[in-house]
Amino acid sequence: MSRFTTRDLASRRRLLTLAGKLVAVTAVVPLLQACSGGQTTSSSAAASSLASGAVSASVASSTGVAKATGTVVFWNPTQKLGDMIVQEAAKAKPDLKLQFVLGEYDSNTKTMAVLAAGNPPDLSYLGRWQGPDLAVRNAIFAMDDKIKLAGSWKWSDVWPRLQKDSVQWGKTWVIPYSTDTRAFFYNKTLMQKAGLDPDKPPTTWQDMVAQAAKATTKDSSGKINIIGYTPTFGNPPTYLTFYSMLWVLGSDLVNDDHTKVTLQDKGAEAMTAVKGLMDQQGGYEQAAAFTKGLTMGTGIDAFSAGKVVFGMNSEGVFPNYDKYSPDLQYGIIPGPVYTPNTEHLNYDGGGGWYYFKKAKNPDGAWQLTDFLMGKDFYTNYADQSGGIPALQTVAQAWGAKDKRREQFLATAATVHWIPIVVGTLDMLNFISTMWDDILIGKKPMDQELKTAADAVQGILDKNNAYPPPQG
Amino acid sequence: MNASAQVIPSQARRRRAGGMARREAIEGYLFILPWIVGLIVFTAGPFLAGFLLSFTDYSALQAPNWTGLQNYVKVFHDQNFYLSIFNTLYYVVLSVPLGMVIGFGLALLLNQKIPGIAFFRTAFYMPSIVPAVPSIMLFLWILNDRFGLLNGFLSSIGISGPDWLTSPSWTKPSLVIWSLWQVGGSMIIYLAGLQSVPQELYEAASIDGAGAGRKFWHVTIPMISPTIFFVLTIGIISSFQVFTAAFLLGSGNYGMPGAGPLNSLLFWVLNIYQQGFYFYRFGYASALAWLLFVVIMLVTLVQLALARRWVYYEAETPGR
Repeated sequence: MSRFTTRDLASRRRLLTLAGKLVAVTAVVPLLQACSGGQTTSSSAAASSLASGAVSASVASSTGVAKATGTVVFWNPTQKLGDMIVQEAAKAKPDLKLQFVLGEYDSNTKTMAVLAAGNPPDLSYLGRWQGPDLAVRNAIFAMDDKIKLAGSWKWSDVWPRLQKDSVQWGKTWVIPYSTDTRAFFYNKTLMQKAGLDPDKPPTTWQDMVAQAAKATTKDSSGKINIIGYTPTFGNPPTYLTFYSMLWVLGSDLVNDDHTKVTLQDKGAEAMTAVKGLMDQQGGYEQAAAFTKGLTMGTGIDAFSAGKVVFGMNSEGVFPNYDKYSPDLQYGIIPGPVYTPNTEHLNYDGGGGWYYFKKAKNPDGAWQLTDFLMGKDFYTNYADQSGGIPALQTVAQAWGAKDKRREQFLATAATVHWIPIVVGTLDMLNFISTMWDDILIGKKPMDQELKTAADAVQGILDKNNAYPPPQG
Repeated sequence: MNASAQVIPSQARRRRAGGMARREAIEGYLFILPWIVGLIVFTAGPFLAGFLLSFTDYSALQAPNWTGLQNYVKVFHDQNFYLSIFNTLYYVVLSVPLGMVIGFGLALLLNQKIPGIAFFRTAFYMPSIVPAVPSIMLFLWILNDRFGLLNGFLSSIGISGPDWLTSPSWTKPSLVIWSLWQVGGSMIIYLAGLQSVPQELYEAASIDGAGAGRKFWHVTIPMISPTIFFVLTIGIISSFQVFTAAFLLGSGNYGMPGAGPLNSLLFWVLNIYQQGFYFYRFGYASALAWLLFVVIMLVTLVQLALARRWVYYEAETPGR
């Protein structure tokens, strides 16, 4: 049995003291470093570089793409795509050092955290709707001066409607990179079972309602087993259908210059049409089950599982359908029109690249952008990402790779999207509440439309009251 | 040896002991320094910053402007605030008692001395260590109104299951069902409490003629009342802060954390998150967060006050 002596105690004490100090130092030093806002210098550099529009004249090439020094930190919401950018850029631009960080898309949690901490990435791929909210809070650069000097692409090649969405207060806040125009999917097998001609999918809303009601089947308890039309665009939220209905009825949520709400012009007609369709199929709440928790196994959704006859979706579903449902018999056409109007039922979205004022390497960010917009890489990227490229020429090359994509390109020039203003999410929230109140809460339609219209007008007024932000 | 010769070594010993105590104190503080720094920087700092920000229009991206009590006044005119209180209270009132009863019941069953009990204890505890995200994804599939396992099972026995996820009447009960899947945590605490009840008390009660019921009410319950109180307090605090599960279960709003149909899953913390991270109203969100803190604190203080009436601490027994 060993004896514990004071000498042992002393040496153990010394060891513990040393260990304690080491622990304290190793914990505190990185903490202090992290909190030390060491961004000031680089922020100023970034601001002076991009905001001046001088395009770092000393190092700028003739195309305006400055030679980058240092690492370019970029965010992408998809691991696979971020890795792809790093790998392909390493081959094509070996001098460009990249650091990929998994980002976010239709949310801002991580973005806000890094912006508040003064440590944003050099560029980030986010939903295109975020521009005004970020611009008005002085977080992002206006890119007009850079765009004029773009090397591998031309702004005029961007779909005109995407150009329009990107501009607020006369300045361009995002470089659009994708647009996920939807198309109308119809299940030929289910149509045949319902006694419908699988080669004659409905091309008008009125036809679609009639065919959807006929194709809907219910079990013995009255619950929907197979639904004719599910009110979704591949995204879970069903209320986006309200926007689309306004568009096919020749109207919109707000006027063109975002000064006046117009949702009441055709709002009642739109909601009546949607409610009528849902009631014919068994009620909205039941129909919504076909869009909620939609995944029914790896790569299988309610449409590919044979539970939905008609649905709108983006071309991003093709890889899963090809891999997991190879026997699925389906066709694709542009969304139906609401006669006598000619606008196709559709919905859009998509993302783009944002450039933050407090970033460290704005020149590097722009050099990476030049690579990303190059036709070869861009076409391959779009192949993997499931969205239509924002550049029309690239979109045509992308479309030529798969015949099914022609259906998406057919309406890509005319499709609408939500009004993009400061407070876009606020606006969506009010429309979502109105939609639920009418379809689930059974509240009076006129009153709900008026409440939503007042709220949207308030958002527009606030949006228009902002002084134009500094680029 | 004279007296002064005896005093000097004694003083020296005291000095040495004092020096050693100081050294020990310093070393102790050094060891806990990382935790103290963490507490100040990551807990106390944001706590106080949040309080100050609740009096501003802070958007997270720009410097805050002082707005006084404006956020607190606005809270009481916000319909969503009252809705979030209703939803939160509904969840607390339903999930906490159910979780406690089921957790306690399971602990009683698992406190039996039968072969293979370790397997059952592990099996019942395991779901509580599955992270919320995968377990909720699993429940989205189980609770799917048309294709879910639960309604499939109910249908097989002739019951038409409800629209768990799409009916505003059923979304909160769905969340409660999910929360019950997590009772393993409280079950294990109850089990520890049950196993610490001295066997001699049961033996004495048996000698006095007490049956199983009387022993349960007059021995088991009083002896584990501190455990019950702990589980109750922690359960209420965590239920008031329900977020992750609601966030995922109610997903359905474009670009926003889902609050479920008719905002039926708009809980207090989800409302805070929406206001801050989606509507850029961090000042307002801070006010909501501080009100939640006050409510939780008040509820906890009431519980502490009431605990004196029903919680039995053996060490406080007079005469012991």
